[in-house]
Amino acid sequence: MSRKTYLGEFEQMVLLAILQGGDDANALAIRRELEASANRTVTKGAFYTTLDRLEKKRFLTWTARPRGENGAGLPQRHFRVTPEGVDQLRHSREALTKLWRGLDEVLDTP
Amino acid sequence: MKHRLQPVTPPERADALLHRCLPDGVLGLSILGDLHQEFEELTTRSALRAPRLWYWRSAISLSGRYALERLKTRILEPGSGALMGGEVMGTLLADVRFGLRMLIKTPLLSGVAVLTIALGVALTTHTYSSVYGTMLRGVPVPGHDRLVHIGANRPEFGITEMQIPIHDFNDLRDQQTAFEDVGAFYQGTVNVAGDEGAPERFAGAFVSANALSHLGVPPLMGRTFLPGEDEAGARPVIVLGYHVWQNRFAGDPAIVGKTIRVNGEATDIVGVMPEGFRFPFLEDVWVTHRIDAAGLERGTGMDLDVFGKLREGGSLRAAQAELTAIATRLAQAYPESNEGIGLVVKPYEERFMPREIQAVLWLMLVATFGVLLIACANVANLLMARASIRSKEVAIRTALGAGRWRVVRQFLMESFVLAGVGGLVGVGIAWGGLVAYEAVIADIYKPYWIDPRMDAPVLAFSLLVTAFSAVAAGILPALRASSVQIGENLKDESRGSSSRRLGRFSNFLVVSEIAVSCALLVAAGFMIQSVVNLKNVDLGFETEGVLTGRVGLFANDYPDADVRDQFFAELRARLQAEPGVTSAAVGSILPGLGGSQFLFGVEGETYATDRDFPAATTAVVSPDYFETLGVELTQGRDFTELEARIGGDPVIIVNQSFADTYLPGRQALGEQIRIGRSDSERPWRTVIGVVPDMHVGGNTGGIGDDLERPERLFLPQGSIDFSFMSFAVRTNGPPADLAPAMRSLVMELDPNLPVYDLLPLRQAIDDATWAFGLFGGLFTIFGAAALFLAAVGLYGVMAFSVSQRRQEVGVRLALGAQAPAIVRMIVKGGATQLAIGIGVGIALGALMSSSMSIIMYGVEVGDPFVYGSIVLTLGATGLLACFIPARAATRMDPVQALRGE
Repeated sequence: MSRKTYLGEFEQMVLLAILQGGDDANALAIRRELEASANRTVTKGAFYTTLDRLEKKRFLTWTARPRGENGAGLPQRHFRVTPEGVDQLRHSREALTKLWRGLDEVLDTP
Repeated sequence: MKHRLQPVTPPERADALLHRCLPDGVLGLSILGDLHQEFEELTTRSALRAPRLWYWRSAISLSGRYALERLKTRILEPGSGALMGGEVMGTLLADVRFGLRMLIKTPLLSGVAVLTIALGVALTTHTYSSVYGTMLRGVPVPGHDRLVHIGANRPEFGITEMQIPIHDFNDLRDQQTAFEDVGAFYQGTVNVAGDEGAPERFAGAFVSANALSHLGVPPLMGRTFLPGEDEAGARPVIVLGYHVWQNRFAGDPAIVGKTIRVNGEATDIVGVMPEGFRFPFLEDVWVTHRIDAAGLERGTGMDLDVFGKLREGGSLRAAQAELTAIATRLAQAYPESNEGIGLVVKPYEERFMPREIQAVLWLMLVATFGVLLIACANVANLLMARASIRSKEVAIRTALGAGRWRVVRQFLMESFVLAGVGGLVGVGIAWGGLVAYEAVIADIYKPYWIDPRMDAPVLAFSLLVTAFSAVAAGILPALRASSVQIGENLKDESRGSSSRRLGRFSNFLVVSEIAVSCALLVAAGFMIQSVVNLKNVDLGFETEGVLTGRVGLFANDYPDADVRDQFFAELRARLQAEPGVTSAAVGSILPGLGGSQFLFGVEGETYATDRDFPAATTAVVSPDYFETLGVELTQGRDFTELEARIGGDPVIIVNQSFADTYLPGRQALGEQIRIGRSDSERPWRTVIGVVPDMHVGGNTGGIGDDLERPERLFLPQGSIDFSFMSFAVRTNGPPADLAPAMRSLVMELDPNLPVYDLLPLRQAIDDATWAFGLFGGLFTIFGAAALFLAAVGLYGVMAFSVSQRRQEVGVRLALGAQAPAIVRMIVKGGATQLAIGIGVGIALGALMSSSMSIIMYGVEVGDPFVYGSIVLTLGATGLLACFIPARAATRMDPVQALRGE
């Protein structure tokens, strides 16, 4: 088995938000999903560079479509998580689950 | 809602910025599109100002982020030739970022660590700038590293340093090949008059004609001296210092070529030296010496300081060999004047820097390194505490594949970040300290090249020290933290085992730190005591309430001894008559300000050869000299007015040391003493009084001057002819208030005669002991900082090690132990550490101090006071550091203490 790298927390959240958005996940929609579910402001710089990084790692891919009614606007990217990305998410979840095992009692205590 | 008629566009400049920074192609355009879309949506909801502001903010944030990304990509780009370096750089950057995050995450710990390192770096930087500015930067002339001083010695008389007579200088100059050239000077005062201002005295150097040109500093205006201008009978010429030209002559651009009166002679101004040039010591003006070597018997006349630059590639050793050969030749050719006299060469700066001061400075630097080590140990302990909390993090990192080196590097980088910030703050503190220090020492009479300031070499040193601190403080915690056993830590849910392991190491650090602090404090304590002793050396006379001054008569205006004697008698009479003056005296020199040695013989003693005649510091003084200085004769009486004139009865006063050394077992009064050797034509003088010892002092920083040879002779005024005399007046009020009256009193006697060195005696002595002023205070500050760091560090590490035992305390309390018993137990444990540390420290300190004793003054290395106060301070701090957290632990609810773990 090839050695897996681990996803950072924010990278996981971005990939999960793309999956949540379905086929039509554009950058604006993803960012809003993130902000809504994580209940925090996402800085644009960190967001876009994370998208670029995930693309470089081949965990996501995008297609550009023209924006606006007549298609004359600036291009808009629509993102999709690649099978490698899904695999990586699964792997990260397993590692975390292992680490979480048996800690419910400790962590549930306020 | 407000209806907009025209589409609103984002700010153009913000767009331009984005175009420049965002990636090219679809990627950049799509991001721009997202921004535009969001901007449009915002403009429908709020006034235009808010969306524009939002757009600008977003543009700046995005541009910054992408610019950084681009930089990183460029570094990591394959084919850029920096791939490997780039990768390393990338991870290093990540480590730095992580380090910064850790810094912010634990602000209290980081703050303490940063401040501790800052203090250590500030102290070492400050001390180094003193060492560098005093001994290493050197005299600011081209080729200063080759500039040397040549003096004479006379080993059989125990004379290690004396100046060179003109004849020897001339021969030396003709015969030497090791130097590019050699020049000579003697220091004196130069009286400038004959222009519009009142006559004024300046510190001057009487130099050989080649002296200034050999130094290689070109004049600002005009020229320096020409060959032949230093010969007897040459027309007098003067070169002005920059500030004399500015202040006395208002920066007159046509000053060169003008004629003024210098020391009573019409003298041409031939040049002005640039600002800051004060060679050889702290001079204002330069004139040629014009010594008539041909008219002088060999070995007589004004002695000279000789200096020169070694030839390129030449060494001190080779120069010394040549000088020894020259001295041997001179001794063979002129045995009467030169037998037993050697020539010695040394770096120029050492001529004006007593060896004791050099040793003290180097020692201070070593000691500040000790303080830095304490600071590093403190920070290492803090990092160790943090490492013990983070052992899980390390275990996870290791489990996820991070190698040990990777973990070590990350921990080290964190300490580099801490040290970096600390170093910056430290340099800031040192800079502030230097500014304050410069202001304090500005008025101290000291060599002109002594200039402690923050420049490139000093900054480079701070950088090195900072890097050293980072490694010293970080390496052990990093190595310890990285050796964590993964399985053990992931299984072990309590912090106990790992922290206890680190705790054991912490205990070792506590004991070592106590030992090092203690040793340093012992050494510092003795050094401070030594400096304080030197500063407060019992002068043997009263310095308060005395105003002093000096007056010099010129041969042109006062041609013979009678006229000069008359003048000084008249001066003293007028001083005594001045309202507010209770007593007045004149003397060839005042105590505490140096003196010259005269050979003498005691009647009844036999001296095998002329070389066996002893020497003592001798002064010529008027009646009331001792009364004015608040000194009471222990035997006999003072000179009478009649004795203190030319032709007066031959009498003499000696000091106690003289009586003890040269007249042992005799009644001093009535003994006969004669100045000179066997061929002396001077009269035998009867001892009529004995005075207590008075400090002689000198002008080379004052440490140890004449402390070993305190014997003194006092001759009555008129017995030896001096054209320069000092005066002292005692007053009931502040002595400085009398200064204007004194000045005008002398002006009335002779309007061409200036008074110089018109200072309260205390200040005159302070000026003469500049080295204490310069370094005494510094050492005290350094000692205080060492104590502070040691105390804080000790408190920190002891408190930490006690807090590590909270769980144990909880268990004990739960099992029914009494709180006071637990406190006792913990304090006892701490006291054991303290006792071991202090014991080792005292032994180390005693060892250090005894090796330093040669540079200490008036200090008993076994002095229980120093040891006692250090043991008390460290002991109290250490016990307090155990007691407070121990008590806090016992006051906690046992359940909470256990849960906390």
